[in-house]
Amino acid sequence: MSKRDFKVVNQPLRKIDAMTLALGKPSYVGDFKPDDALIIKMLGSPHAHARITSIDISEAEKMPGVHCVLYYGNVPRIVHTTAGQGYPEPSPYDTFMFDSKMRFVGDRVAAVAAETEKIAEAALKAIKVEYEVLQPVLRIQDAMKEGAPIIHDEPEARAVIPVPYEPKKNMAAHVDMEIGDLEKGMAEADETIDFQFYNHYGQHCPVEPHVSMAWVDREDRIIITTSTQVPFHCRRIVAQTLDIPVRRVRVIKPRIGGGFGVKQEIVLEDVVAMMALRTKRPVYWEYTRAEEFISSRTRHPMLMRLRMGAKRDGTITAIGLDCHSNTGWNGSQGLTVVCNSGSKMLPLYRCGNIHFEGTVVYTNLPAGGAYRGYGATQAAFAFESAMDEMAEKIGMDPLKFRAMNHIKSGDTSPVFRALGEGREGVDQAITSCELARCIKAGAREIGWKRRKPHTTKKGRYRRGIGMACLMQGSAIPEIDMGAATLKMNEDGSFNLLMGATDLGTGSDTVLAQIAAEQLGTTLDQIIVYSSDTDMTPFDVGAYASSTTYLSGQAVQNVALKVRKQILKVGADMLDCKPAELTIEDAKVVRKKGEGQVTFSEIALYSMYSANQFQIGDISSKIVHHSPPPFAAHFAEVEVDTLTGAVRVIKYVAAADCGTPIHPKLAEGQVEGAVMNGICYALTEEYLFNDKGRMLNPNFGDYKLYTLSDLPEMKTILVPSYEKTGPYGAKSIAEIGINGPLPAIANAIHNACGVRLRTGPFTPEKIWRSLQAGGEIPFEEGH
Amino acid sequence: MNYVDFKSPTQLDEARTLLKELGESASPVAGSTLHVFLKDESPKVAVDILRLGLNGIRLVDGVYHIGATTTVTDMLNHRQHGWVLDRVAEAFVTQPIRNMATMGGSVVRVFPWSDLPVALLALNAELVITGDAERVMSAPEFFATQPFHHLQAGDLLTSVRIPALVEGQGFAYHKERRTTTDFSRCTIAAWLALDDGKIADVRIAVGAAVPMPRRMDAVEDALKGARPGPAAFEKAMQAGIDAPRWKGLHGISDEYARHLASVHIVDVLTKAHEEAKGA
Repeated sequence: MSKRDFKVVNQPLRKIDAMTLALGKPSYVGDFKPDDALIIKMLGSPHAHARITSIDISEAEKMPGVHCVLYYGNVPRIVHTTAGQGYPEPSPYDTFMFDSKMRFVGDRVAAVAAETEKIAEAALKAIKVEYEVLQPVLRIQDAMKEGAPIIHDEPEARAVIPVPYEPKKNMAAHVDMEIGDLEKGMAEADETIDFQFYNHYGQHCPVEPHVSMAWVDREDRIIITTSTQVPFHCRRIVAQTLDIPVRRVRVIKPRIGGGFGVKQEIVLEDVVAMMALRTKRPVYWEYTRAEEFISSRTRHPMLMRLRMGAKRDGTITAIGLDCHSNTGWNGSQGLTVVCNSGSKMLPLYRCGNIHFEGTVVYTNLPAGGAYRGYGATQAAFAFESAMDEMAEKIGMDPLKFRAMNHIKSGDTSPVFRALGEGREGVDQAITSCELARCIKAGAREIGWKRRKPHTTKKGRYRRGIGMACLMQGSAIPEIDMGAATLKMNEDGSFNLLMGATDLGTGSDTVLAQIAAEQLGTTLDQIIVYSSDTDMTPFDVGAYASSTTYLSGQAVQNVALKVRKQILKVGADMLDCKPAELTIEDAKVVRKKGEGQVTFSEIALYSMYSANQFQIGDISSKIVHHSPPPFAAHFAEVEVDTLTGAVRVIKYVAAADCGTPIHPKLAEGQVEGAVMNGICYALTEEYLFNDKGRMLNPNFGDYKLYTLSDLPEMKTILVPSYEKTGPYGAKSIAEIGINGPLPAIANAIHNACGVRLRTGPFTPEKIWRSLQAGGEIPFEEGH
Repeated sequence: MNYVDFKSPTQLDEARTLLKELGESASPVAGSTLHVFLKDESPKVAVDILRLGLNGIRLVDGVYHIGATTTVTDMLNHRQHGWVLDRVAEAFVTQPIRNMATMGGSVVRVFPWSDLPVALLALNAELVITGDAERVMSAPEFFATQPFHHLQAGDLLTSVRIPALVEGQGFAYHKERRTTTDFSRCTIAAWLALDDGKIADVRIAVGAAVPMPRRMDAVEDALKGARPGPAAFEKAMQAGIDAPRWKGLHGISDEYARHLASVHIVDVLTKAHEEAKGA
């Protein structure tokens, strides 16, 4: 099919759930809470590092209205990972439903299920706990010191795939890779740089926090309705932690009020399942906003050292990236996130001498997890800041420096094979790349030509322009799998059953568009049901920018199979061969001559008349490539040089996501991700006291932009055609968040000469840098 | 707050009687936007004061009388000669909160981020309390401590009076924040009057970065009679900047809070001067 022939794909159609959501119809977990549900509340540890020496739950258990109290003494001790990843997981098994060792402020001490929230909270106060307080580890550098307190000293902690794991050294993962010879490349360079960068804590801040409920049905199965990105992983891990067969668990995902990666984790479901089993009552647990900040997951803070060598003609001779990632109290997604810091940025520029090292360390702080960008965000800050610094050193326009070095269609990179997700990667050549056009279009929109060196700028308020180039991936090759089932109904409509998980992205709509396009019908004829482990086929879930590319191919394949069945039945009815037929507007028609039957007539015929069978099929898909989307981002900022305040004047994001299946949703993904990234760059900050307690776990003190803070934003979708993707599509969901941190850092430097190497770029930090003549001494933050 | 009953009187006397009878078990409520910050969990009767006719903005003999239940949105939308509180209202978080929050609720309990107390100090406001007898307090007197301490059971703040700006006078307000919904890190307001090219009178107030909103007396003293301009403003700022104990909130250092104040004192004086000159 030619890309110009699209009828449903590449159209900004109404989102299939738009009216349901706009009218406020019951959609989310909280909307389905049974009236008789018990409410769960959790007692959190007041200490960052401690051992429970005694715990008495008897008073709480006796309280009227309290139905169950869980703690480490009355639940199975089964080590597992909370990471919703493919099995066997690349994350270490280092977590228990409850443990006597406390590893962060807020760690699970005991849970209560009671008739009301008030009773549950009162019961928590009645639990008597004594602790042996241990020295907390609150910084990456402290975690790695000889003799540092050991956070995971339990004998069960282990890695389940063959990767380095040394909990006695607080090391949750390690990866090392060299291509060519870094030192040789550095020696060959005319100019070299060697800088440290620090990416700070950040939270996903979904409007809907983690929320789950569970009940036990008459067959003694546990039915969990939960706000998750990974229903099938959730089913598997809940069964594991409760030591029951997978068949006893059903997980249903209704609409999700935002995920961004934080719901790729089993955070509540093990406890709601256990409480439902113990009480035989529906149970409901919803995180408070404070719990969402402290006890769910965050972006892994990373300490990075970046070395680069280049010749004066712009040739990059060496790149060295050394990442130390803070995974917090558990190792969830630690290895794969740090691998992505290398694999999603190192191939972006051609270079023959590359060294990458990633070390993941435990601390007694909130746990890192999956977060949009997934390691690439952290690396992009260091990398793209360094690109500007190197360009300045060799006296070249940073745009030109990037344009001459970036990867192009037909290129490959040894990094693709060397670095996978916790294991070796997959060879691949770039089959679609319009980064050059993204750079040109973005530069034109921001007005790159008027960019002047900061040394020429005067006055209190100074403006600057910065840029960053980016790449991500589309699913995890040779690991991720998606599947879809499609069946035809009497009226010519179709049920599309998918394990794929729409977390608010609009993927149900996008996948229905793909099905409708392939079948030759309209979007309203596709009835989507997704993410129910009893009803829909397997899918790994919504992560790794996989849904459109991976699940989309599963949908396209199953629709193709069903299309063939339709043509075959049509051929029976029209007394000809399928090859003589085609499909137009939900009708099978002869290519030549007269004769047609509608989809409804075909469905009725196959169900009731002759050669009866259900038109329908199932298709699974595993991908062998992970074609990167590319983007060029540009920011214009204004710095108040007296106070250090920064205002983003304009932000331009030009992105190549292949064919945008739904252009409006694709633009929305870019804009949302950019806003997400701007907040991370400028305002989001975890403040801790010296005992590891977060001081600002609320939206009053942890600041996000609202629409009234929105700068002028321009999204430019630069189409390419990715031949391995459904209708030429690649991913778009994550890449946008990686740009603001480096683009704004570079713009601030262009405005006033300040080089920032630690986020967020607070006014005080900029003011102090200005006082110090452009840069303050580097130090690890939080 | 834990409200167990709701009363909705329609007369001021009726409301006062209710509040007096119920004492500490009652709480007057209007916009209720601050209640989210109050930790008092004891059972309370909410006495709605929105139907008492205390809303509205009137100009009487050059003085604005602002009813206690006038919303911040009303202050934002009001347009009349010499009216300046629209500039303050604009910085008052978001529209839904502006629609509910009232003058009275915004000043009887001061939070570090409070906008209106700082402006009222600079504008030399008077605050009218209706109790068994009517009392009028000056802004410095009212904000010398948490203002609700001035109110006995049955007392209500009923209106606020501020002189309208006249020719030769200027007013400016600045709230330093990271986002439009952010708490203030430093709030500064300045009012000044010119006479024959010199500063005849001036009032500068600060908030957020100090324990309670306050006037900057030393800065004011250094400016009175001076010829206005950047050098004079800078010199005056230096003369008084260290009078308060600056306190950094929300992750900023005390030193930076002081620095912000030093910059914005000069900024608001400059803007107020521009207005006073008629620019």
